[in-house]
Amino acid sequence: MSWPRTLSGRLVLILVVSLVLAQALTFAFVFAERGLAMRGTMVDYLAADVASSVAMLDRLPVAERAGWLEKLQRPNYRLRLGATGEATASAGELAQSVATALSQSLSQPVAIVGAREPGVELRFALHLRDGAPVAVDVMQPRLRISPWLAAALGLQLLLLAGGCWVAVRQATRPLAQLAAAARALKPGQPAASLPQDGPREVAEATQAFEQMRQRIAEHLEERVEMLGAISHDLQTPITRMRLRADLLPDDSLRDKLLADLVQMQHLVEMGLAYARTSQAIEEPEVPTDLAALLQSIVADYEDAGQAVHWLGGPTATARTRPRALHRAAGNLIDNALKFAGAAEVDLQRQSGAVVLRVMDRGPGIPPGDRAKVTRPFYRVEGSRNPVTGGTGLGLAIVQRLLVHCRGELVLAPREGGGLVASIRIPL
Amino acid sequence: MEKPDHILIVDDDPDIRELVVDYLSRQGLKASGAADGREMRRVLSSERVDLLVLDLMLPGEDGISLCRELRAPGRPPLPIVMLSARSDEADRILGLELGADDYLPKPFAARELLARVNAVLRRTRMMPPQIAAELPCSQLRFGDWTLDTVARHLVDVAGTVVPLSGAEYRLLRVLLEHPQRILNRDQLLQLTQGRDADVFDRSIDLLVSRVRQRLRDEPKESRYIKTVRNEGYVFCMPVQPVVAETSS
Repeated sequence: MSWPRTLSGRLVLILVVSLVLAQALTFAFVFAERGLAMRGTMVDYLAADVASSVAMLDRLPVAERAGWLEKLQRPNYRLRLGATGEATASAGELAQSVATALSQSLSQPVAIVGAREPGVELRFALHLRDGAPVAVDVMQPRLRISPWLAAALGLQLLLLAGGCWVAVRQATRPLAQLAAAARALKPGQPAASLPQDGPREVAEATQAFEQMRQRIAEHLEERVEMLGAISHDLQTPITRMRLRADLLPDDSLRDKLLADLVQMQHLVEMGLAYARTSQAIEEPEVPTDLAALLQSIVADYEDAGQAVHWLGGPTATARTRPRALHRAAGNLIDNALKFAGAAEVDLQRQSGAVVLRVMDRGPGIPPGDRAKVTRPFYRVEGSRNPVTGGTGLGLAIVQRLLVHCRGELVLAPREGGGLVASIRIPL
Repeated sequence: MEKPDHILIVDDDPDIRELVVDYLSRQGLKASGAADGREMRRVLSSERVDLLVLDLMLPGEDGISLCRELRAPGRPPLPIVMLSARSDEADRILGLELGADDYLPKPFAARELLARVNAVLRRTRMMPPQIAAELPCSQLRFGDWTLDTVARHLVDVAGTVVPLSGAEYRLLRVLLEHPQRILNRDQLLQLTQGRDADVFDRSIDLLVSRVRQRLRDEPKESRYIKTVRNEGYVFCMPVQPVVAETSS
């Protein structure tokens, strides 16, 4: 049998094996103790009994003696006529005490004789009054175990094994929950709260884990806040620089400076937008007409002269945070415009969910990068240059916003080339 | 020669103040600066000011409380353009709901500020004062709908939020502020012109049909927006303003 892999398996095995061993030991002790006690009483009673049997044989005529032997037999000893072999010197304590008791009750010396017969434990040699030799065979004691005892023992072991299993489950189940919670932990997502009511050790581990999770969350938030603070403080100098650039008489220099400043401003705005995603949770969740939401976003882009088209969709209402969702969808459209120059938007109903889709004919995202593009400041290699390239924050912002919108971002290649960025909202 | 408009810039950053004053002066406007609320009141009490450029974040009294003060009943109407380093939509909405006429996030280009200043001046001159300065309220109720002017969306009787585009909101807002009054296309165009001033591309008719669609209104038998042939549109449902104390 191989050593079990799980903690619960190991604990159950150790506990059950040691309990079975302890039970067996107890049983053996009780057994031996009972045997000893029985023998003690047997010695006294045997001596008196044998004395009366021998007295009877003394009175019987020699010819009738053999016929009476059977009637004088007891479960624990029997008498036999005739010589029985050599006296032995190496006799046990029990044999000595029986011999002493016998010789006292019979008032004659009793010899201990080595017995070779099966079932016979001890043999003593003595003589009748007429000198005829008689042997006393003391049979091996037989202890019988009643069947109910065996059943009780089995039941007891079963109870113990069951108790072990329950106890081990008590200890290991919170551990399994903890492991599941640790595995499910994702940055920016609220963790499933853990039950704090387990055994103290486990509760402490849970608390420690919870504290660690909070520290990680605080650390992440601090990072986000720092980005936000830097971005915010950069706005005033950028404003000054823009105003100063406007006063420059040299047109070409001014235009170059303004282009640089626009880029800086864009970075600052994205940094602020990223930091502000933490505030999305403050917006209340309300039932929202999702088709109207997308249409209004598309209309804003159209009004601004951008190539964004609404392809239609069913009427669908879901509980969400409309402003956060608006921003998330807007970021996806901005991305499509940046890489493809145009975007199509539609709404679809899929099994148990509404899917807001933003589609483009741009370069798409290589499969290997799909999981990484939602990381802040991650840029797909080769697809960006300093002019068209974004800040690498757009999809990270979407991801953070959707955590609060009950939504999920799915990036997939579009048939015929391009990208389909979908926001899946379960109904 | 006509006297140039006087623009007062309230910003605590001396460089920005000076640069804006400098730029606006070069563009033929009279411009002066104030570092905080106290200086602002001093200038307002001693000189005629045509428009205020007000920074949201000021030491001591911030732009919000100053704006509230200037919009208190009984004060003469003064156009206000809000500035803020926080380009969050919430601030923009807050600024506008408190009665600011426009909002410009920092960093901004001087030319953009000039364009906004001119647009606001033009708009407030065109409309009579009682139309230009409406009371700030957070909800407008009509028929089966409520227009949330803070979140800028519609809410139906079931409580479902129906989002609106910027132009749709502005058109509906203008219509709701002038119920039972025929507004011609030019008026609607002027009034709905917002920050993204590219609405020119779309005709008002298209915008009206979009708003009707949001209101689930039939164009043939319109419950809300009626077309007045050769004249314009009229909002034909009573509107009930609701002023909420706290609007976050």
